[in-house]
Amino acid sequence: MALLNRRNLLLSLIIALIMSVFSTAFSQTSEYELKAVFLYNFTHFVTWPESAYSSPDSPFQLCVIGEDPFGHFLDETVTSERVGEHPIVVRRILDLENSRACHIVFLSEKSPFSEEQVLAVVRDHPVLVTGETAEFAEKGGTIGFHVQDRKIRLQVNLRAARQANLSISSKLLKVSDVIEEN
Amino acid sequence: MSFRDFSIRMKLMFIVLSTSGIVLLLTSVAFLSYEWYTFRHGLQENITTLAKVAADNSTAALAFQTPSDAREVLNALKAEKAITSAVLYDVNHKVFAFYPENLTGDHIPVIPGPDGAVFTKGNLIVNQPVVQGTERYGTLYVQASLRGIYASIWNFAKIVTLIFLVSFFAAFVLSTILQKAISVPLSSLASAAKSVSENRDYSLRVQKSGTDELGSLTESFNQMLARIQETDAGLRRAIGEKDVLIQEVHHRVKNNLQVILSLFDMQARQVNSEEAIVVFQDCKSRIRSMSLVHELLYGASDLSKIDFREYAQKLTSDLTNSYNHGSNPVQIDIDLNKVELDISKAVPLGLLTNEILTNSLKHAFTKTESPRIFVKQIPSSSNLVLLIGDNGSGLPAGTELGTAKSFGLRIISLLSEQLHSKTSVINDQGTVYKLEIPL
Repeated sequence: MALLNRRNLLLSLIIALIMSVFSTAFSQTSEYELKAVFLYNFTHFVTWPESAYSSPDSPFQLCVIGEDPFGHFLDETVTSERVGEHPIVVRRILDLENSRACHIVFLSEKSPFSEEQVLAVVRDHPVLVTGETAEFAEKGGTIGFHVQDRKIRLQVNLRAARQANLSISSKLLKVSDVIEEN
Repeated sequence: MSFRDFSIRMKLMFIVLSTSGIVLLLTSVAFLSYEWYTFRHGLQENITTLAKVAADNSTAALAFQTPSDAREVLNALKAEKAITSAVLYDVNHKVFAFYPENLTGDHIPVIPGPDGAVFTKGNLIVNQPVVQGTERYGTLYVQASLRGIYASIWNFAKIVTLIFLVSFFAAFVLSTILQKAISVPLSSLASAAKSVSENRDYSLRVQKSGTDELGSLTESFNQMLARIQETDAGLRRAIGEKDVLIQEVHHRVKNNLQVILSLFDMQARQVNSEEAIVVFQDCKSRIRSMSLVHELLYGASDLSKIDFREYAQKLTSDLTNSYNHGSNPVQIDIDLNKVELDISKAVPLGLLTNEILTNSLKHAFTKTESPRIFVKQIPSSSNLVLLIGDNGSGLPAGTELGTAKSFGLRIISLLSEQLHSKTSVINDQGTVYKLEIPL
């Protein structure tokens, strides 16, 4: 009887473990799928100055700094999409110096570079800097993703956006938490 | 009763009221249709605009997955009372947010319909695409009730009906008053014309109502009456004069015939021959019968006709007095209706009757105990049928009217021809002449 109980308990534990692994994997997938779509959607609610492009048909660069958590989601999301006349391309940045040519920068949690390092490089450039660390926007990032009640919320730093010469649609601001000063 | 038989007054009223009624009805229908179209169009414009605004404000909520913001946007739709529900779908047709909060599943379409506005039974459905830049994020479904429009149209219909009734009543009152301008002069003309034709009173005049066509018609009518009156008076005068003249002629003819009779009397007294005296008496009798016609004519109200019954009575009375049978008086039997004859028939028929009855009185009653002469009428629709005769001994055997040599019978035959009479003799218990004279 005791043996039976122990075996049952073991079985339950194994099932629970498998389920939790799957659930985590699923939720991770769904979160980055959503973030990839959000990154693409920013292109509809944010306007970059003309100076952000080297030529009228130069690509719109969506850059991921650090380890890419999106897998193929981001590439799939932006495939054959454009911002005006500019085709969207995804770049993975290893050298921070290259990030100045980006239009959107996504700083993943597992990046080897800190927010400060990245922000220092792109300062005064028309780059929308996004990150997923806590208080990213408050530290000077343009838009920060943060998960609240299992939902992704956006934090927008208006000063940073203004400094980068980006204009953010009021519609985006309406659905975001807006931070005026850092 | 057809429209043609209506009085002028009724016709005018009918024309005015039917015209104004139809015009009012058409106007009301046009107004109602226009209002219905305007209301619907207005509602569609309004709801589509609101849906556009709401859809535009929902782009970020859809793009960044914030249903609470979307709900907030949709809640703003409650400002428009016609909107009963609104559902925001994402690009995969999944329900993202809806209004009102208590909206149940049966009121949420599984997928939104094609973009645009469409009227369904009692509702207006607007499917508005949610687009930011070139990206479509979903669809906003908005349902608005037409109940408000129905209520407005119903109110409008009530006002239009009231206006219709008031206008129709006004048209009725106005036409009742104004139609008199035409119908009154016409009806006075009509009644005057009727009165003139019934009473022959040409002194009647109709009062002129104005200087329009009716006025000139009235004037012409009055002038016509004046002329007729003048002509009528002239004719009456002429007829009066003619009557006096004719009366005078008949009187003189009668007097002249009397003079002839007196001369015959005087002459008869101068002869001794019995035969000559009989000839004089026969001639006198014939002249008397003619004189009697003129005597009756000038005494009659209508100078051209005499009553044959009165004539027959006087003639038979005169004859029985002339041919007196002493102690055995002749009975007279006159059975006639009132028969009016003009002079052209009265004179020959008088002579004919005189001849037959003279024959009877002279020859028939030699052996008869109670002598009787008669003039009877047999009813007939086309002819005047008379039986004239006696109950005497009858004509000698073999006597026939056409071939008789007797002067009296020849006269009877000639006068029958003149009257176009079919004359036959019945010789049975006396002598009876049957005359069938066409009228």
